[in-house]
Amino acid sequence: MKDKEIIDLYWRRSDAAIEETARKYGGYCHTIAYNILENFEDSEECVNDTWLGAWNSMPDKRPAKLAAFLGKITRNFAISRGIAKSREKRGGKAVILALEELDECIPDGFDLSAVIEARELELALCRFVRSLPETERQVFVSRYWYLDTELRIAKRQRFSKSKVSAMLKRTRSKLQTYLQEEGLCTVQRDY
Amino acid sequence: MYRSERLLTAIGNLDDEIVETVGRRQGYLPAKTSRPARRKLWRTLLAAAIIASLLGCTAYAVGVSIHAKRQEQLRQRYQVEENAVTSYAEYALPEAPGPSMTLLSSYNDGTVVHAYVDISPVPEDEVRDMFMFDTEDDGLVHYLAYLSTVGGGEALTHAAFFTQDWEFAPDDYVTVTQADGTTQNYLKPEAKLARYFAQSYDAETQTLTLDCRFWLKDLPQGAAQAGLHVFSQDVWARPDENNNLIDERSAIHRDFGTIKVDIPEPDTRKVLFAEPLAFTNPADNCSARLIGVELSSGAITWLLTFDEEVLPYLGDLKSFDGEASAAAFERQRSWVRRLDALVADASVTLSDGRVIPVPGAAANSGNQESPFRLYGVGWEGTIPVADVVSVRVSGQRFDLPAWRPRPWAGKESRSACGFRAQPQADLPFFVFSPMAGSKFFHVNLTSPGMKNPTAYGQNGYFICRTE
Repeated sequence: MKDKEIIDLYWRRSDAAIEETARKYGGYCHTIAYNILENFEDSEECVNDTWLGAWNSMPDKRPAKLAAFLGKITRNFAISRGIAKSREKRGGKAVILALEELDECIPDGFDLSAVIEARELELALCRFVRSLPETERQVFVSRYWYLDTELRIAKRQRFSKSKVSAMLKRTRSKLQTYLQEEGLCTVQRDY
Repeated sequence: MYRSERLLTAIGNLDDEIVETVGRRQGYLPAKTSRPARRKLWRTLLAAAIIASLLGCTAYAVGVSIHAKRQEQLRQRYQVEENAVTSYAEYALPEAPGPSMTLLSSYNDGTVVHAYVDISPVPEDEVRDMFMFDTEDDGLVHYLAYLSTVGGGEALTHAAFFTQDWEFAPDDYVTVTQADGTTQNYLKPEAKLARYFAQSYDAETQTLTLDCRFWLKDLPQGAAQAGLHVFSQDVWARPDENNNLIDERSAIHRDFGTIKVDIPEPDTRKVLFAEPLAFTNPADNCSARLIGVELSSGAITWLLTFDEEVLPYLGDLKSFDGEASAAAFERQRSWVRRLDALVADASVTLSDGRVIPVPGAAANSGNQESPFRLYGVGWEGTIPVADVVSVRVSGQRFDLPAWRPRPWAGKESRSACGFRAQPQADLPFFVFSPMAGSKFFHVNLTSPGMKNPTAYGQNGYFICRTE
């Protein structure tokens, strides 16, 4: 079924909407959740939360790209759950690893400026990602949007794992420079 | 609290287009098939027509020559002329290039029908993806599957790539030490990939040769033809509740069409021994008897009866976690080892005095409702089945009566030459399937009434050392 037809089902409040969404995007959302949570049951719950989130969002929303729309909901739920689990020391290693890596993008003694609006930061990141060469962009988005492991990314790209690691390190370094140049980082305050 | 939490959240709101494009390129999402705009399509067609008129003759020669080359390889593989193999059929090649799928030949080994087809054009990177899937099983890649349609019914056939030989150099293996200290040799994926590529793909014409396999038991009795539908799908590997990877398939990605495949008459000889060979399994003190063989140019199948209900049917076990399951599994394996030992020195003798050793054994099982079992193994090539005069197993020689060709013709179905031919029709069974040139064998579990052959791998798939 086409995305537009699925969205129409949501707008008509038809139960079939979730069934069709699960059929078409169940695997996709599960993959995202599993990359982040590394646990089958948690991932399934996360995917179910995604269907509920989609049900609550449509209407009023009519996403232009349903896959990305659903993927974002899954990712948000999964990251929240992953961080919560890490605080309870019951998992969430994949999220913590990604956070640790991304911490390198923010220079020591600096923080992401609190006065910067979230949307401004997002737009800046979009510009940064678009400016990356094709392969670097694929690898960066795979790692930090899909939270896929370096090993799996390497397999898909047919690179060695060390090549992917080096590429990501280089991109993080570029991002650090970019955030500073754009004035998105400010000196960290100790409260 | 990480300073980058806000950054990770912001990355989550990247443009939908970036997310979706990367998702499709990287295989998180199935690739989209795009339809060119009408104007662009006409321009493309016009350009293609001009190019085709300029290159037509060359393309035709190249296209047909690869098909003919493959047919020659297949004839060699099955030693068709040398062994007078009658269960092999070859098809006329198209007189003009054009069809995206060309049927080359089909072969019936009495249990499985192989249909060989060329499909084109298949881009090289797509083929590489398929091979990687086959060699690494890490999923999220794009590969081809085949659907047979018979009398309106459908069954997914086993997907495989055409290979002519499987000889590898010692360097192609890597030795892995197991936790228990034993070592096993594994074929390096890159070696397998290189061999697949060299044997199955012609880069010049972007032609991929496929070996599409039908199990006779999945075809209606007496079927003389089957429809073969070839298409490509995106396959997702996702973990199940036990964290095992399972496949999920998307909608059809590319459709190569449907062709009719003739099912050649199998050249199976079925012989019951006058005096069965009794033997026991010391592991559980149970006994069984070897009562006969089914011989074909492609395989030898041992016919067995068990004197006691010795083999629990693994397919009936809900899980392999419990001690009872483990014990049952170990008992199965002890029987597999015993049967392997029984036929380890088996051979067939031809009328000209040549002796052909039986290439190992491999097993599969049916349920416990009947003591009847079949155990079979494929030859690495073929044998001149009509010339076999005796079978030797465990030091005993069993002379075979002169063969009457097609003994079942007009009485039972062709598929009856497999297990359905037995008087105990409808019995579940074991089928041993060998890996030619390998020191391993599979034990493939089947279950009664199972119609989808791909389920074999999921139902139970064991690899046991024979040495």
